[in-house]
Amino acid sequence: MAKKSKSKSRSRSGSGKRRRVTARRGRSRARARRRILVPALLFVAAALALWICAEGLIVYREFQGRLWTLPARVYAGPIELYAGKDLPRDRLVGRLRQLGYREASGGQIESAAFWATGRSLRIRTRGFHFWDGDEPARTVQLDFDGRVIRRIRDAGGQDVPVMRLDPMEIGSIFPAHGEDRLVIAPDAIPETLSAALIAVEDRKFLRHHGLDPEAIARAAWANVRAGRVRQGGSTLTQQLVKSYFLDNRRTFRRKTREAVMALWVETIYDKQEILTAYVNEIYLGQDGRRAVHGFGLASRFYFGRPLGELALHEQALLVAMVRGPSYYNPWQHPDRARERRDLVLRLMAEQGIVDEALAQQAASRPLAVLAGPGGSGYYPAYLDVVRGQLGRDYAPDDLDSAGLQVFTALELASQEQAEASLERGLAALEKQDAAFAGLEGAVVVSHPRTGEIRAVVGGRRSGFDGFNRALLASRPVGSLIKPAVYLAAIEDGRTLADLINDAPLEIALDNGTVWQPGNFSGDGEGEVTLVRALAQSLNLATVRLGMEVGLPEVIDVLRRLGVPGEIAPYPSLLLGAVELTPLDVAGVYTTIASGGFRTPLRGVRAVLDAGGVPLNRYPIELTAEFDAGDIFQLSRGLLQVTARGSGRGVARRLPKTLTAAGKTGTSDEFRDSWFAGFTGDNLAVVWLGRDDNTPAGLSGSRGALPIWSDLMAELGGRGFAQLPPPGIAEVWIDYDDGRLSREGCGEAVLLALPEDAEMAVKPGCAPSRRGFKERVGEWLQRLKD
Amino acid sequence: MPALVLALGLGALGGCASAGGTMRAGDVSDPDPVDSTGAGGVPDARPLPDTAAAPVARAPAPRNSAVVALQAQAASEKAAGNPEQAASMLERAVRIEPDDAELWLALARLRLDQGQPQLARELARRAESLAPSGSGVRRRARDLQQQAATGGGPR
Repeated sequence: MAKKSKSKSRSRSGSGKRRRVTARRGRSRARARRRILVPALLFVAAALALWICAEGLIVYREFQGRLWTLPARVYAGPIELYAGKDLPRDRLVGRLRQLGYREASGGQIESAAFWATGRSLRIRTRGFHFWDGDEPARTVQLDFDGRVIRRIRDAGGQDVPVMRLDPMEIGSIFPAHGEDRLVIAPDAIPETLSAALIAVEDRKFLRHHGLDPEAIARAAWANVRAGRVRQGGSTLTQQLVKSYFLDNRRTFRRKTREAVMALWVETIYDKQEILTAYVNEIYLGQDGRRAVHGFGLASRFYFGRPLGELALHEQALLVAMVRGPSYYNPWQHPDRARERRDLVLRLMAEQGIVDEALAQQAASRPLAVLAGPGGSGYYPAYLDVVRGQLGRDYAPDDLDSAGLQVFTALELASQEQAEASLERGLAALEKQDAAFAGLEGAVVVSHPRTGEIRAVVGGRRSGFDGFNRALLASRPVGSLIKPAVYLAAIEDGRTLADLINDAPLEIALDNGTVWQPGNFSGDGEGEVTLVRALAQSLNLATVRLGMEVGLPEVIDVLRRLGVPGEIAPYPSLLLGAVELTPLDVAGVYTTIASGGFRTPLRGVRAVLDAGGVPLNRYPIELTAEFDAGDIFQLSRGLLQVTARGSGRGVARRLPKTLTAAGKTGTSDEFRDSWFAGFTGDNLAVVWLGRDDNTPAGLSGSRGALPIWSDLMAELGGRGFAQLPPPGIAEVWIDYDDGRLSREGCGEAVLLALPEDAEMAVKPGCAPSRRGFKERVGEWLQRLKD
Repeated sequence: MPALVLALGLGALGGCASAGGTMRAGDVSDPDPVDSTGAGGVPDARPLPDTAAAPVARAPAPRNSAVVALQAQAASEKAAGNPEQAASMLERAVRIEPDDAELWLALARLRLDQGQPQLARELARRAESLAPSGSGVRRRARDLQQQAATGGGPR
């Protein structure tokens, strides 16, 4: 202290000049400070204003843009209902439940519902706008006769010849950031839902200007007491802004930005617009890679029904989940979710949104969510087909943000069965031998006449996005290729009753080496009929036949069957050294199954824009690539594969009436196990193997075939049946020597041959010759044609 | 009756004459696979499906009323100048009854009228392949192919 006074006195005792200088210096410093400070303040103010304006611009631009970011919705094929359809009542009821129809018990029916009356079923349907017009909402009664729908009548007692249910939504094509939503129009938001959101999340929503100072002060006090930022005090507007523009960090800077943006949102938009945006934006759950945004999609995701059909307790659950979709996840934490739902209901009653009794009644209801995520139907493997097909006609932006409605041919029954059969088959193999653990598989089901893809299974974990083997795994097809060799031979003028030598052979290759193909077992069977070589998948006979017919001819047949890409003309091609995906194989076999008409495989039938205006349609197109008689002869041969050849396991599993033609395929060292084949109504390809391409240890008949048979047996439908084309006769042939025979005489098989084929007759088995009357009848028939 | 006797006689004669020699495949009496099991002499005499094949399509069944209704709807859409709506309905019908030749023929006719003779021809071929021999639809399917081949436009 003394020291200080000393210095003071010294300063006082200094010259006046120095004092003046100091004072001057002080003033000039102050002036200089002012000179810097004022512009600096002005600069800061300008920057702040600029920043605020910039934030306003961002809000405006993003908000407008976001209104248009609608992922494409993808629908399964609708279920057609008509008299005569094979669809047991309980199965239909299962489908209706999947579509979110409620089981009604009389009384006033307002939304989609069904109820049983005696042996009939009544349905109040949802209306739906399809590509080709509206299907009205109506009440119908279906009478059943065993497993078949006998009659359909509307409420007025009029017969309804045919109708379709609204299609099941099977997913959407959402942008890379994973946000999926189903946008709800302002007038389609249930009033109770809006009111509940306001009551629970932001009571002063209709009065404030984006911020609620009281709530902020309350939160700030709580934060001060806690010593860190814990509470938000966010209005609905702030929550919306946070979800639109900001990350989840709770920093001061972010909170400031949020506040500025919230004020802007309130300046530019009215309350109704803000609430609508909130309803469509807010995050409500996660499904793998897909983030569930908005109440429209959440309603589908948790309840399998449109938002407009949710009851009070269901709406309340969704409102409850806004606070923490994973914390209040009804599947993982049902008690928590229920407790908060009931709190929402109490708040609704307290604020007079619903009356007390109604709220209490709603609180007594169970959560009523679906059995689990994906229960509403999510088929990512099929969506890959959709993306692939639409990718040719639409830009990626159109698909993930233009709100397109995509109608597909996915058939739920086929898809579910394909998944189940694959899983069952793989599990059974694992049970047989632990060495089969970790096998993967893929299945494609298509319609043989229309080329529509009914089901796609991309792997064992079918409900998850992942490597889609059905579309992407190109694998050697092994003997699946053989029908092409025999078809080339038929085109070359041979018949399946002709003989070929199944004996070792050597083929000199262009590179100077010699290729010696081997048979699956043994050194060859000697002289065999073509039908036997095909049915038993004899390698040596097939290679000899292919070389005799010519590789270019076989390659030409493969191209016309629909094999994509380059096909290298190596002799090993004849044994399936060609890599194809299961979907490619389905395309090739569809050409055979459809009588030689090539039809591009399609998943998408039609596309509507967001407003329901028709855009594209993908109609049935076909090209006759083969002579009908040639294909018919081949098909008759393929029937023998399943009847007595390498695919005879099929006959054991399928009912006798369900005739099936098909082929097994096994690649080198048992890496790939294939079966491809068809009945009258379905074509399916099954592949089994390992992702790292190590041997699976399974032949086609041991691995893929049982799965294929199981699938086909469950799908049912009609057997493979075709009329013999003109000029083709169906005759019995001796399986071993190819001579004309008759039914039941030795080992006789039914084949199709050109009528003018001159055949040796098997002694003792001569068929009866066509009678005079038969010939005259036929002659008259031809005259009529 | 005399014709029948003659036919039986010739048939029997034919059968005897062919024993051990050769024969044209087309001369073999219809094997009528409807009732046969096709099992032949296979040791593993399981019920074999190969023979249940063709007959299903052979029996002329009354047309499914659902597809008849859809075809009628398609006709009115076409008349109203909405050919793609009409096509969509016919395809709906085809999915229900894929072997109905009439539907494929209607689709072919629609494409021809739309000025797509190539597709019309292919569709008519499909119709022909599904139509029973001697049927009216088969004849019409042929006519339409002819028309499409000669560039026959809308009729």
